Amino acid sequence: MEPSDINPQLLQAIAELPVHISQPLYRIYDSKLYFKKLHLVSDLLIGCFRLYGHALIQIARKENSISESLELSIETLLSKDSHGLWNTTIIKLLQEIEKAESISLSPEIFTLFGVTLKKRKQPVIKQFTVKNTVIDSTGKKQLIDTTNTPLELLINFRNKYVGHGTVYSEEESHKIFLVYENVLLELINLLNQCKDFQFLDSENKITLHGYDKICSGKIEFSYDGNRYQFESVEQLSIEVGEYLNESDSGNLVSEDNTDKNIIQTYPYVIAHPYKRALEETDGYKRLHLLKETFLNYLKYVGLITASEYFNSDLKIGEINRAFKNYLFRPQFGHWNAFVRSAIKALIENKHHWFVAELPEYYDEIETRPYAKNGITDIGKLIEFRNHYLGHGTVPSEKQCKQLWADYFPLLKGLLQKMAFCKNYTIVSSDKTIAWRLMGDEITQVNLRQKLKSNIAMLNNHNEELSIVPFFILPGEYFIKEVSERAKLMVYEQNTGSRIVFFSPESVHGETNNERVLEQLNLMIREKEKQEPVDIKNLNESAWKALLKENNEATLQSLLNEKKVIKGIYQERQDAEIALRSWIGARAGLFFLSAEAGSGKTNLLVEMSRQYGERGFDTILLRGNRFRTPDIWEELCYRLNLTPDSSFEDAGFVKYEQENPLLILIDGANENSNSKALFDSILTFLEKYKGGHIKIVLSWRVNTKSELPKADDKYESIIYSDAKEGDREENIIARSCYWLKPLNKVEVEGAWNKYVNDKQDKVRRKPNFSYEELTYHDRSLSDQLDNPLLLRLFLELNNGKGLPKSRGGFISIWSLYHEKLISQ
Amino acid sequence: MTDNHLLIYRLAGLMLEHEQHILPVDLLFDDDQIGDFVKSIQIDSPYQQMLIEGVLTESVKEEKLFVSFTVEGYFHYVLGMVMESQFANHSAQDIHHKVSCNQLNGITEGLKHFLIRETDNQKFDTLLWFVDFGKNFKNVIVDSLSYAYLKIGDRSPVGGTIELTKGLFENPTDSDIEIIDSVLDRLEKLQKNSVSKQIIHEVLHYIKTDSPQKAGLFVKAIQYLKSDEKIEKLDRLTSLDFDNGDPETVKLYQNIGSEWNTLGQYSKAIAAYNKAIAAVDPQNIRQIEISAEIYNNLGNAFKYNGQFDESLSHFNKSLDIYISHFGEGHVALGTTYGNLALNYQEQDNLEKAMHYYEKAIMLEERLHGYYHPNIAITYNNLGTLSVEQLNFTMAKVYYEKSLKIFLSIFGPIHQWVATAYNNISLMHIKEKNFSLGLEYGNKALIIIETLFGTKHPWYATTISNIGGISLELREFNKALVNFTQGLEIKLELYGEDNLNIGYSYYNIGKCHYELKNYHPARLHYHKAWTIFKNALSENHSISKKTQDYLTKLNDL
Repeated sequence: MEPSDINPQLLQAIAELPVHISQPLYRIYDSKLYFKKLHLVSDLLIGCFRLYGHALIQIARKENSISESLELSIETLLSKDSHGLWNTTIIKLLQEIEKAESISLSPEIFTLFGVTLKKRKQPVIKQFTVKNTVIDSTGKKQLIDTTNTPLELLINFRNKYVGHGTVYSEEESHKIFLVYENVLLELINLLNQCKDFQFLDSENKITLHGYDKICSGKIEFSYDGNRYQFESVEQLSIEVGEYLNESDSGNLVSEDNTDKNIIQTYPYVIAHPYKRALEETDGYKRLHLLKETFLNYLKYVGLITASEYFNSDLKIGEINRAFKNYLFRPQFGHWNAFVRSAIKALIENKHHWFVAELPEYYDEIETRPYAKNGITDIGKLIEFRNHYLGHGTVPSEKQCKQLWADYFPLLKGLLQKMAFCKNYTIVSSDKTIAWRLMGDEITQVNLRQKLKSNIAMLNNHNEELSIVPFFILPGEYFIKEVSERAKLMVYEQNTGSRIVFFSPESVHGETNNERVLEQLNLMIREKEKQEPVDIKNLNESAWKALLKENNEATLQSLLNEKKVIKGIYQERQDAEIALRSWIGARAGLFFLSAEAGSGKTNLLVEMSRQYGERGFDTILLRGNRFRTPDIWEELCYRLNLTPDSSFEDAGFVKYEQENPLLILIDGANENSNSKALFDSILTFLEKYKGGHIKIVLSWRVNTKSELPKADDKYESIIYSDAKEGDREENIIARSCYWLKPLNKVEVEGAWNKYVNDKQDKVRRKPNFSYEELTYHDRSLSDQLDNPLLLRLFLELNNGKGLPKSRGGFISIWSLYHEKLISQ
Repeated sequence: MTDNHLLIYRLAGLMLEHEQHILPVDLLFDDDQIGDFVKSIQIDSPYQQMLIEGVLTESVKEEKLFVSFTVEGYFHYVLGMVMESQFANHSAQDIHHKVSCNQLNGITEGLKHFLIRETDNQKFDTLLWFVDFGKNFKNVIVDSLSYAYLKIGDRSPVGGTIELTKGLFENPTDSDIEIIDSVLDRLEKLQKNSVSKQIIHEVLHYIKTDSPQKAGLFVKAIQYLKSDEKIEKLDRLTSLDFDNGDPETVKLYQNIGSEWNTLGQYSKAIAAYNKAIAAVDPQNIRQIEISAEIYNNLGNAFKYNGQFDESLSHFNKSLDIYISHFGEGHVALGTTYGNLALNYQEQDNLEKAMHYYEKAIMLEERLHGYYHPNIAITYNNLGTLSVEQLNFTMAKVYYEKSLKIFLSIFGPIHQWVATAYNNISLMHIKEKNFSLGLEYGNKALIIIETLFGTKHPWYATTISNIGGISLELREFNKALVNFTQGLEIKLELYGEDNLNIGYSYYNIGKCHYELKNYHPARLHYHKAWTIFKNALSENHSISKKTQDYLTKLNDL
């Protein structure tokens, strides 16, 4: 970089600002690549936060100005920092230091971080406005103004353009950089004014100011007659001169025959980013393109697998669930999870494969290696992405080369083994022209026959597999800005009301086009739709299989949401006894009420298990998952019965008062129309009076007044074990069973179960016992009689000593919230 | 705000705005505050992190993707924060209106957290307004007020809490009374007696007993007083007269009656219950039902007072009311039948006792089904009754039914199962079938040891009973071990001068006597005799028996 190329203010900054800021600044103006500049702006920001943040922490510690919640944030920052968290923490630190009034920090630093001084003058906190172009789901371009301080704007910039991981083209990157350059310059100007902080390296006592300095990670500075030291090798160390005299150009990767083969013959969706990666001269951008190629590879495998399924006649619940769980908004790892699940299920159901080689290929690259070593190439590449391209700073060219050398061969190996994909040509056609989407060069072709859908995969026999709407043509659904730059759009995520696509050219597009949406929704619906069956046409084993499938699916959803943790259940003796005692009752409704987090869900899951063990048929349902607020409609939907089915017609099972069918409904209050649901349950049980069909209904309330009301005519169907003297007007209030909080023995039991659990990934093992906590802070230990709060408390205090007493009552929700927002 | 904070806060704000606790993800995409977070599917995005950590949950319904807070309680907490910010300059009436009109599931709980945050900041205006005018939010008010008192702890009211006390206790309305009553219940549920005491102090200081509601609160408050003070205040309350026909008056006297009952002052309890009966509105079906309850209570009070005929008469009145107004299937009839049966049993009218036990069984079975503890207990009682009638065949049938139900409900380790085994053991002993008596006695003992340990009085009793059986079987060494073990436990529990100890000494003496260990036999009989002489009299049969043994030993 030539000094004459940049303005004097910047030159001064590069020479005088601490290396953590001046070096990325130098690199920004040294690099000719705008994509890299964008990432370096993020690095500059994080360098500024880390340096000044650590310094202010030391000052605040000396002045005793660090509150409990700030400690939490600081603790998180030391292990997992982020721009946003540094910013809010620094603001709080400045506010606390100023409040203490024992030390007078320069007003310039307050202005830098946008903190207003109440009692002193400070340089004006300027606000800037930037205009961002956003293309919404209808395809309309919008210009949005955002006004804020330079620091906040740059944090927004980072979240918007760097945090995504999108590889923008140089043209796009240039436009973005131009929008934010003035903001960056103002930030540099503000930093230039903060001259009071002069940093030295603690080890060699050399100043850290200037872009060519090195830093051991141990830093000292003086302020107001005090000397401060801090250390963080991981966050603050800078090695010698790797970045100096770096050139963006001339770092070409040579192509071998395999590379040429991939570029020329593989599907465009893979070939194009692969070529871009090999042709990219900047090491950092090349790594990003490696990541993009890998993602496109995963998507190719995943979407072809999905297309195999959706084009078949099979209806497999497991794949339907996997699609919903993984592919609506898939992260990297979700693609692989879907493929694993779907291929296994397709094999089990003897699917006739269009891409015949796919299952064996996946077995070779993933299933077998995982079983043998516990790690696969796909896993390593995902790790690479998370570790180096997530929050990390821009590596040096040398580091980038090394990473490329380590990880590119893995991807190449995966692609090599997938050579069969050449035999499956992806073609597209609109009304007049057909295109061959193979290789980096898309070519026009004449197809022997008209395609049934406008993008399809053809095999050697000219048979067709539709891959719409996972791959679509941009022209039909996107605005010119998108369609001009992209040849093909690949499914990225779906909200149900819009689908987001991403092209191999790194172009984003969203569409809420009804045709595309409806096509996808229809495909999903068709796979879930089964012809309802009249119950009288079932036999006992089919009936039990239906119940089992429903219950497993419900349980799995509870496990996924961590409402139930496998292997952890604290016995609720009184409630279990009551629920076992009721089995033979005449009344059909057992109403279980309790406060939030008191263990209703876990209790119902446990009772479902116990009832099953005793030979009773059970159906486990979730109130917030009902399609309509009607119990019979929901049962018909879940068990695929015709609406005119009747339990009386179920000749294969004889339900009686002593041997009932038990329906357990968890969280009925969470249904969007809980009152209607409740009424439908009463009507249903009135119809099936006599106790042969029974329902356990759990309902979250704080007091009896919140309970739903039932007419007195339903008295006989509502089970009551009420003590004499209960004078409530409402039958439900009189009859309901209150799930009491855990008693001390139960709390201790649950505590020990969590602490000793080794199955769940989340650790819940504090360095103190329940008894020690009770002596130390009774107000905290008393809250643990709520199982949910107990669990959260153990998670919050995993590996920690007794929490500092805050003098008085502190809610565990507050602690939980503080921890969440401090991340 | 950190990114996470912004995301969580904004999400709750949108839920409040849209009045939905589950929002379409699509809606969030276009939000200018958090849209970028939500759109990103990179693992590092705040939204994805919240999903991974389980704070938020995405679910698909009818092919549309929705998001909600996974943990309801946390959602309510955040909602409270959002409401605190949005309602900052709103009047209480305004807040009430907004919350009443909002259909969001969880809005009430959010209001609770909002009010709690207000109390944290020593602001009580809104809370006090809700106490007076927010009838639909009673539980919210109770929770918030309980929280406010919990925060104060057991210190004297300071600062803003004086404002709270003034607002509640000076010229309290019916609403205030109701709320205070509920707060006390809540604190009792939370076992915060030390905090309740502060409120009790204020109740006793400020509340005038000029209405049944206020008097009712007073009754609740005096539970925390010492005995003599309690009695003095209860006497005064009993003498108060309020309007008959008012359900609150009935409730008040019933509660006073219960308090007297607890104190063992049955005549006064009877007086209070009678006042409750007099206050019942005979036209009101609910009150009539309550009167049946009161007659039941009177029945018990008379029984404890030793007035069995009166007791029976009142139980029968209770029965008549239930049957004539509510039919034979009323749930409380089971208890009344049970009470009648016990009464007759205690008066040795076994036939009538049997009759009522059987009625109780029939009713319980119809209402609760076969597998219910009440049925098991009644079968157990029938078994005991049958043993008294020396009808061992029927006793076995009843006990087996009882045991089967207990085992299916409670499992093999439970005190009711132990009771059942114990009763079967005693039945076999009475039948002189000692080996079976021993077998069942040992089964009971294992359970009691598991549940209560070896220092429990029940363990002591059971092991002594087993000693008795061994004695009958002339296994004197075994019997000696059992009796000695029983004695050790009883000495720890009761000390030397206790009748139980006396019997233990007697039995040990007998064992030694049979084993021809005359010196220890003499020693133990002497100790027994001393206790019997003091606790019973010299002329009591057991004292005389002991004396006879001592005489024999002296002659040896």
